[in-house]
Amino acid sequence: MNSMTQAQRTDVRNPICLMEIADTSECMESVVEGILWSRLRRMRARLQEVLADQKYGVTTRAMHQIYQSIGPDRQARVLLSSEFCEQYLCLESARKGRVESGADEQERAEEQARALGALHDIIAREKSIAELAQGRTDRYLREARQWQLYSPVGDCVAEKDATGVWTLRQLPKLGDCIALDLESPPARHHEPRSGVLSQPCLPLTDAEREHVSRKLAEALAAIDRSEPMYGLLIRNFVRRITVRKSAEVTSDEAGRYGSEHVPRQPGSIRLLNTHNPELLVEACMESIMHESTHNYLAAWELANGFFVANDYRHRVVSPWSGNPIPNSSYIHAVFVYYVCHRLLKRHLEMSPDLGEAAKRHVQRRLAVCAAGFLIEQDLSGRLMTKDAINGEVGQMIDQMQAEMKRQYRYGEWQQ
Amino acid sequence: MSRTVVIHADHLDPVALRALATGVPAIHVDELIPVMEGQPWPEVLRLSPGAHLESLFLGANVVNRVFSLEGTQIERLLAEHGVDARWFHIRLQPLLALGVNLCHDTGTRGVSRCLAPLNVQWFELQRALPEANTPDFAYSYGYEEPDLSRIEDPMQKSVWSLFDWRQERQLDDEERRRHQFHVSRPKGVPVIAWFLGRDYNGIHFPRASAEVDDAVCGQLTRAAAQVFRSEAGEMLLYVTDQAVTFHAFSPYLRSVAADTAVQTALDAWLLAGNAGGMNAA
Repeated sequence: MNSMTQAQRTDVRNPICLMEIADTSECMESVVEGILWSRLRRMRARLQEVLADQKYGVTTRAMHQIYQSIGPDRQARVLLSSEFCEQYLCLESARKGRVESGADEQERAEEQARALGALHDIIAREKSIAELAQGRTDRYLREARQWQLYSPVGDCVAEKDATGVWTLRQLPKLGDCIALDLESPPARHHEPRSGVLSQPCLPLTDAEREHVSRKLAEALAAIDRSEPMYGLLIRNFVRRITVRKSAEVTSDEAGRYGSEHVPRQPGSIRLLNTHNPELLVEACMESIMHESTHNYLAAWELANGFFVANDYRHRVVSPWSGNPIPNSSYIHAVFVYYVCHRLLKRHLEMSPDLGEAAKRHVQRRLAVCAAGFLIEQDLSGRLMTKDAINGEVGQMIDQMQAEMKRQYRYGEWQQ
Repeated sequence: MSRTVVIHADHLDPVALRALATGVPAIHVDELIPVMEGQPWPEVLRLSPGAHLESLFLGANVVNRVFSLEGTQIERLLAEHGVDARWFHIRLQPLLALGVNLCHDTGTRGVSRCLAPLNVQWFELQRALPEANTPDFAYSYGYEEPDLSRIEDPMQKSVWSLFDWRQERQLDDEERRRHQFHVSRPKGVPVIAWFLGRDYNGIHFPRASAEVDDAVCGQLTRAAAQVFRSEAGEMLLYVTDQAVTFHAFSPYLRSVAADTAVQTALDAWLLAGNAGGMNAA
């Protein structure tokens, strides 16, 4: 059977296809492409739903006109941006009355108005940036009160000078296509729920910017060398990496590293205190891979529905971190540690000249990644849901566990 | 009839103490130090128990009471070699698997099913026994303020603190601010139902006595033994005229260990050789 036949047979609606990516099988590329197309189609259908809703009247008519006036590539940029997804989910939540408990009709109406306004702004901003790229400053920019406006995907920023002239600046890119965002409003935002964005936001010095940029580029290059298909995966699913500095290097707090992905913002990942020189390239490799894995899983879920309904009251204790985490995060964690283990193991094999400190770090992280799989209980048995879960999801996570147990000869004497 | 062997990590562990008093083999984890050595990845840690240890566990009912390595020499040894405690449990597994039955999964806090946090305990118990009563609770995410509107008389707890229900003493600063866990303050009389085997053995009253429905205790014990993979544990229940509410399970048996009736029952249970869970290794 040739790879084309295999690829044609891979049903990207079936979650089992996600294993093709984790294991970098020969039909991985077609699965990646399939997920991206289904996500794009799903987001387009969702926008159409909003635009067709008569009760939103003049706002949606204006949105429709702007959207139709931009090219298909610009439309895709809007639909695949994390900003669009986040605001769409806000609107949907308010429409279905799922805003925080106790919210009344008036609050829901306000929430809808805010989200609809934000969606309008996202489309209008993309159009203005497209115009500016052609040397034209449209009315949206002329009347804007801000000095800077970022594109919804976060790859460029329109900036106004003191005389009111707008110019377009590209943000630095990792791997030629991933925006490195050190300063946009989303990068500086405070979010109480976020482990990264709830931390203080300090400005990076020029030297720290240079250091972060170089280290993350080296990390991505090392991923490309170790497992090129994972490099491809990252470039397909990650559009923006935001970096937060929460402490000066001289402070003890600077050793507080972190990274995260937020499901409502697919395509974005956040890193904390990457400016600290003590943080190794290998640690950055793992963070990027870790969060990118969340991104591809989230992209699949956005197109096909969540693996499992999330109930934040019931959380599974992660056998990796020991922290109680929601069911969906737990399913993601199984993939994340499986993929990171594969990457780091390949990195070790492909880098005979790796320095001692880096080698020790990688070996220690491999032991951490493996340990969560090497437990008596089936990983699927830890899910805390009374609803039926997709059988394939349970099967996949148990399959990854079985593979790790095989690799580490779990249950056997190690003599 | 099978023999029983106990493995433990606390010299004051009540089951290990009764095992030693009755001549049942009880191995402290520090006794494994001579046969354990740190190894480079991927092996990480090697346990070579040797013929004597293997023969002790082979075909025995194994009672695993390695709940925490805190304060042990093994803990220091692992730290010296930079080995995570989880690898100790991983390498212990094949030794325990030589037995015919295993009471309590191997694993660290939250990984072993007998060391689950409160919210997991309540979920799992209700999954096995849907009619079981468990406390109302709210669990916020990150630094969000919890929604306490549906929690009657709320008190903040650590999700890991099993038996502090009058005043929480185990809440650290991080847990006080992040992922806040709040429960309804318990009503009624606290009672401890303890069990050795699959049926409950007795009731202990730490404060005042109360009428407790035997049938309910029996149902709760069977459910707890099954979901927490335990045949030696205690449950904190609160009893009112209307209901018995399950609050927590613990395999430690700390609340009842000093009770002579419990010690007598423990001796009989260990000597009878029918210790061990249904989760045959």
